[in-house]
Amino acid sequence: MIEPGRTNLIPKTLLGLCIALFIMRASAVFYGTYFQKAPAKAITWQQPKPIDRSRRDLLSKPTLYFFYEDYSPLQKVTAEVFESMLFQNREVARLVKDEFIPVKVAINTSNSEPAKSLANTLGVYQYPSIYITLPNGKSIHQVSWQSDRMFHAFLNDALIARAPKAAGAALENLDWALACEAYELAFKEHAYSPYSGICDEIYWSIALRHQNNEAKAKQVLEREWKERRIPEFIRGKEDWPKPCIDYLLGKITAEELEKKATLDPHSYKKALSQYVIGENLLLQGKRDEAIKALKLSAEASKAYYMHDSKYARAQLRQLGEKVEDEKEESDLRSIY
Amino acid sequence: MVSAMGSALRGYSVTTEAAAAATEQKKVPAVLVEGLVKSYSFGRIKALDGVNLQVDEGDIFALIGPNGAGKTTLMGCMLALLRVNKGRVKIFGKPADHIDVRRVTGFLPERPSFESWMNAKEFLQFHQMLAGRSADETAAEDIKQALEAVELETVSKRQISKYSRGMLQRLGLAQVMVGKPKICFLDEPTSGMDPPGMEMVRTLLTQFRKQGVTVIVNSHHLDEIERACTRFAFIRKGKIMTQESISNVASKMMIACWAGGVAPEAAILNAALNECGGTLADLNDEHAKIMLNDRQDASKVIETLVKNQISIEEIFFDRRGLSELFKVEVSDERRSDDSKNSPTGSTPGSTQDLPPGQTPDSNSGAN
Amino acid sequence: MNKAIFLFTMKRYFHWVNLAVGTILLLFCSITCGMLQTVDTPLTKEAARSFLFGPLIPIMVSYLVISPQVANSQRRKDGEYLSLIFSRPIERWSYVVTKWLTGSTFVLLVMTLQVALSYGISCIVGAFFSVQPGNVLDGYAIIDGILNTLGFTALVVFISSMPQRYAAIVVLLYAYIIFLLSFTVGTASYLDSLSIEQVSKNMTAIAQLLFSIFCVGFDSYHVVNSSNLPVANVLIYMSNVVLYLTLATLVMSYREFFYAND
Repeated sequence: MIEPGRTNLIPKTLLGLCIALFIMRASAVFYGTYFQKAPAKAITWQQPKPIDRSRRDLLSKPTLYFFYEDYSPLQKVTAEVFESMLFQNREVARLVKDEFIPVKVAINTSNSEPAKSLANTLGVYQYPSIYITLPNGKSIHQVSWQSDRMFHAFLNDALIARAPKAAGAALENLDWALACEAYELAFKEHAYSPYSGICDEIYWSIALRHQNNEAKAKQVLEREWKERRIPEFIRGKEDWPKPCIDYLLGKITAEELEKKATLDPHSYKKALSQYVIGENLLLQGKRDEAIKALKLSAEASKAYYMHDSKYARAQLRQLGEKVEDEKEESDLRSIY
Repeated sequence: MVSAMGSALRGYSVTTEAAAAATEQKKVPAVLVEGLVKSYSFGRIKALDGVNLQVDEGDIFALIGPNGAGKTTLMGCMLALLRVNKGRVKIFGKPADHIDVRRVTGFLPERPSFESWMNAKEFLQFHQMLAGRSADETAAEDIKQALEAVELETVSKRQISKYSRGMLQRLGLAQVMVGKPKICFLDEPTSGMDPPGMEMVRTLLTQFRKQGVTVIVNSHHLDEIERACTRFAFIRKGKIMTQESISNVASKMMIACWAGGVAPEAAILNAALNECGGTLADLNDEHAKIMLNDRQDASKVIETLVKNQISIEEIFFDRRGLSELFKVEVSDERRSDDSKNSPTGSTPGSTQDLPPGQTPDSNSGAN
Repeated sequence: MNKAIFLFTMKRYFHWVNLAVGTILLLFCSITCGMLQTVDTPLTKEAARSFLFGPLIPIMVSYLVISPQVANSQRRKDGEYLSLIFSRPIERWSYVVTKWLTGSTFVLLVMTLQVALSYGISCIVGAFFSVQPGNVLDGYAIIDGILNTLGFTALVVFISSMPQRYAAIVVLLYAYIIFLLSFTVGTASYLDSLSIEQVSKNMTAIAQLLFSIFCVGFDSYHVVNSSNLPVANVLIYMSNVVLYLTLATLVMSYREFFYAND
């Protein structure tokens, strides 16, 4: 049937190769089905526990939650496929074992209440999915169907993002030591990653001064601003928050700073400048004047994303002042 | 030429031992079609119905027939571009799709559809490479010669998309030439061409004939076929109706026109014709019809007439041989069609009503 | 492989109209990836990498299919054009393999250009922000780039080997299955334990199996680091590529190329 030299016929080699490959493929599937032992589960999953919001060890291992629905066999198998795709990868498994606390949360009828409340707290809206949080339940990342390589990048990303997140949480708790440690970590290898805010070195220097480390606080402010990797054409003429840094370095007075922060319809500048003035006055021992400034900052905004106002309110509570609570922060909010 | 196959197919080394078989191999025809059946639309339309055909090496073979007779389909099957349902096609004793056959094949499609972004030179280089002729020492010269032969050398750098239909046809012919074929399939080589173009095709066919290249040509220009071809086959409704040598149908009737409208006397003319084997068939004031025993005697007739001081203005063959045949075949077909449709069997509008020299399917007739 | 087909197809890819369209695509993709590379996080780097060596490949390969229509100002029929080509000494399988290798070579060339260009752009942008651009090129990327290109080109060669009306049906069917599977299994690319028992039990595994039948992509990072036997994955890829080439040769061999049957 297949003669050499004929141009219109399919060559034996190609046909043979195709058939051989399909036989090998079928054999591999057959072997995988009936003879290959299922690989040992790469991850030892822990049972879910209620979130402890009061935890202070924010730089310890973050928690990795694997949420999946378990109402039907289809959902269960889907979860199995998801797990095998993401966690059978040796690199991913190693990273999860070393750096995270893996927790598997099945949402089904038998254990519905605790698991559902955990899912509600974290704002889970897709199953199966992965949520990465700080030990106190503060969300870092959430991810669903991904290639294992992309997932590996997500995990690495979460490890970078947790330090600035932990630092922010420490400032809300007025845990200056933890804040210093977290900022140290955040800026050590990934200085000015997108997770580090534009004002982080200001907060860091305040935390350092609360820890009586004036020299490093000054060094942080001076060095970090100089090395700031945002070109001038983006920073603009106002160069915010440089006036705050100048004030903390003693280059300008509080009045001058207030003047520079006036043109601000959204109160961002007011919140930050008054917080900086308040903290500075407090560190100088001027308690009453500090409270006055902190109150101005606290009143600037009650939105959950206005960190300076939140830090100011935390400080006011510490000083025994009565302040209103901010609007509740949603855990749905991811870093983006 | 050592043998038909040996000369035609590259890659077939002719050894001393093989020389003994040369006489046997000489009999291998250039094209052999046996019991060819080709149908379309799952067998509903039969394009070719048991075609048997033989073309010898060096033949300039014409396929003629009315539209839809199956000429192009037959050519497609001979080129192995169409799959046959039954029967077989052998080119130089090999299957039509054999790589050795392809190496010596040239093909000009009826509707030239070329890579329009190329220029003529690039296109010819491409086909020279495809034909495996680019490594030849004369490769560049061959392209130049081909372009000159089809008179496209001045526009060889122009993009093909800007070519007229006739120019595309010329380029197609050049493409056939650069492959240095031993067998050519030309489908309507003169379509869309101007008179000089037609003349060029005739010259090319004559050139192929001299070089011993076998040519299968599919054309409606019967006059051109009669002049350049050696054999022909008439196809009708997917069947070969006639297959013979052109010389068998070519006219042996000569027409001599008298200068100044003065006819010689019949006795003088008869006496003169007796010397050279001609017979006077008709005589009037304007011309005489002279029947020859053999077409080869034509020069003798002219010589004798001149010697006898008979003043002739023009003398030519009555070129209606093939046209007459075509006319008869087509009218037969129509008659049989009409007899199926009408019980009276009348032939309204049949080709017999046409003036002599004109066929329903050709624009030939004029010399 | 046929040298003439290779050279002239390549020449057509580099025809100025194709180049103009291609450059726009190239610049758009390079700028996107270049910007992503300047944001120094594992995630953005990974996004740039997977964009360059992932979805861009099918886009580029698909462009190869329409390139003849782009380059040829006159509309042409496959039958007419290819009848002339196939009257020449070219085996149909050789034509298929040549088209496959030519397409792959071109896509790999463009991809190399794209990687270089996006790295260049990330260097320029990075200079403003004093950021070291992320390097997206590693062993995995190179292997994936080559294998994905070869895979998708084989698929496209198969589709374009069919007469246009059938090709359209196949493309629609293929797109529909991929669309359906994307709902069922998300962006899952491979199933490690392709178990017949599982297939008999549930839809997801059936979807996975279907996907593995069509799939011509390769994820070397997954295969290398998989805890399971990676042989099945490699075989699925290889058999699919060879299957598409064999099918393309079959279609080409049995297809009639002539204007008489239009």
